[in-house]
Amino acid sequence: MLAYVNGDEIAFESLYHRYEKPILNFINRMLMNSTEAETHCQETFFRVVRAKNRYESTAPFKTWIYQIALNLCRDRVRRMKHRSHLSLNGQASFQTDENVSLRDTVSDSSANIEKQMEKHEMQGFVKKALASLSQDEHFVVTMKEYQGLKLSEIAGVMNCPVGTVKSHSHRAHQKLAKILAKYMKE
Amino acid sequence: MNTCEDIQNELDAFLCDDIDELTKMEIREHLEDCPSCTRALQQHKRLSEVLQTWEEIEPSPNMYEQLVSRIRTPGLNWKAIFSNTFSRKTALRLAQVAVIVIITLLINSWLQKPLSVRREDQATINFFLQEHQGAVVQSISAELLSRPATHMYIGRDDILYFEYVEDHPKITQPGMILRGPKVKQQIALIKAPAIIKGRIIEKPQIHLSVNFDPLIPERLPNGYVLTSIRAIKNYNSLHLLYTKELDTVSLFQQSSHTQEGLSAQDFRDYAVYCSQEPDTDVNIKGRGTILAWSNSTIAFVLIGDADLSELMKMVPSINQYNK
Repeated sequence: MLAYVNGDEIAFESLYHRYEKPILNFINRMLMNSTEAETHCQETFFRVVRAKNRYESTAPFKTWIYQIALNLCRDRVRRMKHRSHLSLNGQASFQTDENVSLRDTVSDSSANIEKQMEKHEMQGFVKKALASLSQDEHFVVTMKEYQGLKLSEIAGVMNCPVGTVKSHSHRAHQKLAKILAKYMKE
Repeated sequence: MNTCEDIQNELDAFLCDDIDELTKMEIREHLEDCPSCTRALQQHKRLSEVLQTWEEIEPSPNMYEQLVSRIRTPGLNWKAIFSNTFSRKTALRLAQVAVIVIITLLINSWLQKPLSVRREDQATINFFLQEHQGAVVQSISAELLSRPATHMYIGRDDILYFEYVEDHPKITQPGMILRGPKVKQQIALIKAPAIIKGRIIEKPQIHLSVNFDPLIPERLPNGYVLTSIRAIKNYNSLHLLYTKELDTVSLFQQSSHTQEGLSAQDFRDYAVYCSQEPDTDVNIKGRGTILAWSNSTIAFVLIGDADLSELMKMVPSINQYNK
């Protein structure tokens, strides 16, 4: 990042390709919408470019870019909640990937359709279970389980003590284990 | 760290390898002898496996090119930032606030507008002599004092009248000049000026109507003719109305030794607000300028919508006549 700040455009391209997929998937798992994820992923990198002169080398770039992505997700969720309140039927007006039919996602040519369907069903339950968490719990689980960040790194992104992250993680674990009990037996 | 609760609280960190070696060793030792915590660890691992069923997505192949294109198109960036940052309602609220701020600023700027922009209820003071300006500014606000000018605009509540008296024992020059609005439409009266309350009298009655010896010039210069004489009720004052085609000039007289006469404010109200001569068909619009002066017995006020230069020429002729 420092190389890019100092004018090395190639450094940015390298940075982009290193973080594109993790950031895209982080946002996808927070917003549960792959189309929105692409838009906000691009926005995250755009903000990195725009704010490059404000980047402090004392903070790890990973922490910084996840902070930007997290703020975008929070803004988006807040707006979706607001729209949901405005909606007469109380439903959020945006489309999640849950609305995509099974037929669209399961390959007809697969020999093991039943297994795929089971996996798809489990994936749906996982999404619903994650959606039932508070925003902070959802964020901690996503960062820990999918992005592979350590608790101390998550605390850096959230700008809170590690103990708070542990509390969120512990509560999230209990909730998820309960909701996903059906799948917890090996 | 001895209890199972302590150990289970650290299982997340243990699995993330985000823990110091000593604690890691303690947890391992504890797990060897504790089936409950071992079960909790297995549950953590199983939950991670279940969560991993939600597979990753792959980025679209042209995402980077789109980003680069966006970075190089600054015009589109702000639109995108705006649409991503603000909801429509937030934008509307911001717009509402902006409109309120703009209106407030406009009202504020209007209220603080320099007095050089005259409103209908304002009058202009034109200084007849340079020294009059010094005399007048003694009686008006400090703000006006700071305006070096040969004329100034004043509002309804400003002091409007200052009678300048020369050292000459008998005759004074006009003290100050007020100019009312040059509007051609009616200006609503807030309150009828005391000056219009009176009765039309004939020349022979004039000496019976006031307790001083009035001056009645037969005619004023520049073609003005006497149209009516009016005794102003309760004020021991006379109003002589002169007309020249559509132009009018009013000459007011009252004793210079009494306090019962009309006040400066009365004249000002007449000049600024009154637009129709009472009891006559003469429509007087924007009387305009006031000239005021006095001699040893009579205080004169000349109010007219004639040109200032014409009015100024009338003053010496009236004084001359008086002599």
